Order: sequence, then C-alpha cells, then structure tokens
Amino acid sequence: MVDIEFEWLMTAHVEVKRPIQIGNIPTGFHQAVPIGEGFMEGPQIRGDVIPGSADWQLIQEDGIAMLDVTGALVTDDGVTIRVSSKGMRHGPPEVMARLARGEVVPPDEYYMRAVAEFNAPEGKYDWLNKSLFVSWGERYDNKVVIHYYRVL
Amino acid sequence: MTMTEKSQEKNIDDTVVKATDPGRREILKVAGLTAGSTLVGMAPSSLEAAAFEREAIDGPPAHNPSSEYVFSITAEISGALTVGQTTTGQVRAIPITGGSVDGENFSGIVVPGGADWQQTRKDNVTEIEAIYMIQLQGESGEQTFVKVVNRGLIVPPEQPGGAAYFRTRIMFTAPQGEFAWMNEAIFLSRVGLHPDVDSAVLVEVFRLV
Repeated sequence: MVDIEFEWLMTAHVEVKRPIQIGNIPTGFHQAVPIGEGFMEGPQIRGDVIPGSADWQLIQEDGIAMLDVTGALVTDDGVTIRVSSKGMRHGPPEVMARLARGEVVPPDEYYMRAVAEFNAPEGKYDWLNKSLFVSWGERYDNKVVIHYYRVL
Repeated sequence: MTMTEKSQEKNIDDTVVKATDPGRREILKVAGLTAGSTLVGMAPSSLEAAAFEREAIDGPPAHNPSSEYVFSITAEISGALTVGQTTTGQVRAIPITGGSVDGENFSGIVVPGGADWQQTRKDNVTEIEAIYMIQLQGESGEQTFVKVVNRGLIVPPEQPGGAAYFRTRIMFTAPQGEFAWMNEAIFLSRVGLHPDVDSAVLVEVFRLV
C-alpha cells in the first residue's frame, strides 16, 4: 500500500483578530475569527490575502474546534482566487490552554488540519480547480501560518 | 426580463477596484482597517494583539505532512442514473448497493441504499459526493453505524491510457465510544475500480497526519 503523498503549494501568513463570539448554539460554541491582512508564497503562486473574511469556528462538546474559512487572495499578477478551507483543530487541554493564552506553542503539539478548495478563473491558475489540497496550520497570538499542499 | 437583458444589466456587486489597479496594496490595507474598526463585539483595544508584520517565506516547512493508511471500503455499485445536463454540469447518481469494510481491528459492511452523486463540469472534472452508511464491528463486538460523506474530484488523465486522479476528503460521523477516533482527524481517500470485485470501487482511507 502506497500512502498518499503531498506536494507543497504555498505558505500563507495571515493576520487574525480577536474572536467575535456568538456563544452557545445547539451544536457547540460558535465564534468568528476575523481575518485581516496576509500574504502567501510558493513556487508557482504568490499573492496577498484580501482582508475581510473570517474563520467561522464551532467548538464542539468533544473539544474539537471545527474551522470554516472562505476568503480570497489576489496574486502578484492580478488574478483573484477564492479559497475555501474546512478543517479542525484540537489537542491536549493544557496545550490548548497555552494557545488560548497567546503563548507560542510548537505546532506539532496540536492538530490543525484542513482540506482546501480553490476556485480560480480560466487561465494561468485554473490548475488549482483540478486537485484536492490540504493544509496544516500554526496558530500564534496575532496570526496563523498555513502550509498548503496538493494531494498527489 | 429575458436572459440577455438580465446578463447585460449592471450588477450591483460589480467590482469597483480591479485587482491590477495601481495602489492595490494601499486599497487592501484600508479595507482591512475599515473592517476591523466597524466590527461589533471586538475586544477592547488594550487587548489587541501585536501588529502584524510581513516576513519572508523561505520555502516549505521542514516537514511535509504525511498520511497513514487506515482501512478500505469496497463499495458495490449499480448502473448510473442520469439526471442530465444542468446549469452547472452533467449530473448523475450511482447507487451504492452494498459492500464491505476491512480494517486492522475492525470490519463491517456497507449498508445498501446510499448513492454517489456526480457532476461533470465543463472543464471535464467530475465532482463527487457519496453519502452512505457503514456498519462496523470492532473488538467490543458491538455493532456501530457510521455516516460517510465522501467528497472529491475525478480528473481525467492528460494522456490517453493514463490513470485518472480520483482523490477525496472522506468524512465520518461516528457516535461516542469505540469509533469516536473517526471524528477526530482529517481523512482522505483514493478511489478506483476494485481490482478483484466486479461492479465495485475500492476506497482506500488515509489519515492526514
């Protein structure tokens, strides 16, 4: 059995702001983490985050935070691409408490992973429409660093 | 209003600022500041985090993600039911009529009655969404039903005779207990015609590590 392998697409640094808390809803604790500036770079793509989206999070009873972001980026040659990412973050309670306090926690101490989908217009970047992508993330006090990979 | 008139009508959401305009970065910056200042429910400014700064991105991180094989699903299928051409593509459903599940410490069956809904887009990529149920039996001997939603892409080979790219994210909804681990990770699958079973696909499930 050959495992599924991955090819690096890009790394993004994205500013995140303080959560807007909706509170307890029937399926968990709901909040939105607003996304500010950001930028990304990889061998075939470079660009900026278009500010103004949010990560809509549902923190479930089992402690898992389900993550759901839809935003857009604009490449350095002027193409706007939609990015939609759905995933999860969880870890041992003491690790998650350190993250919540804004401490720098090595990203391998928690699990922050997602599946990403791109919607690119016809042209130079339309190959993004034809693959599955995953990401793994690092959470810091004022930003997230997200590494995107193509699923081979 | 005819379709032509409708398509010529000025859309209220038409972009004012083109991404290629000079001063693009300044516009983005202002947009970010504006969004932040008008949000309701933000923490007081004294609790704001440190300013966000641009840093160099020096290539990929030291370690790539990896995957580990977890189990396989053999899904038996019957002939496609064609819905036909829709505004977003050619739509069909492939009934899932049964099958088996093979894991290291558990096994099970595919409960008949699900379907794989497919839509082939105009770029010839097929989006799939298979929804069905599996019934598992692990070391406890108890029977557990688990919901499966498998979404992904089939991309035809670039060269005739090549292999299609058929990759998905497979999501499970399992009750608390023996199979709760199925809720707690991102799982991917690689799908192809089953090498040994007629009218079946083999779904190999991997955990994103």
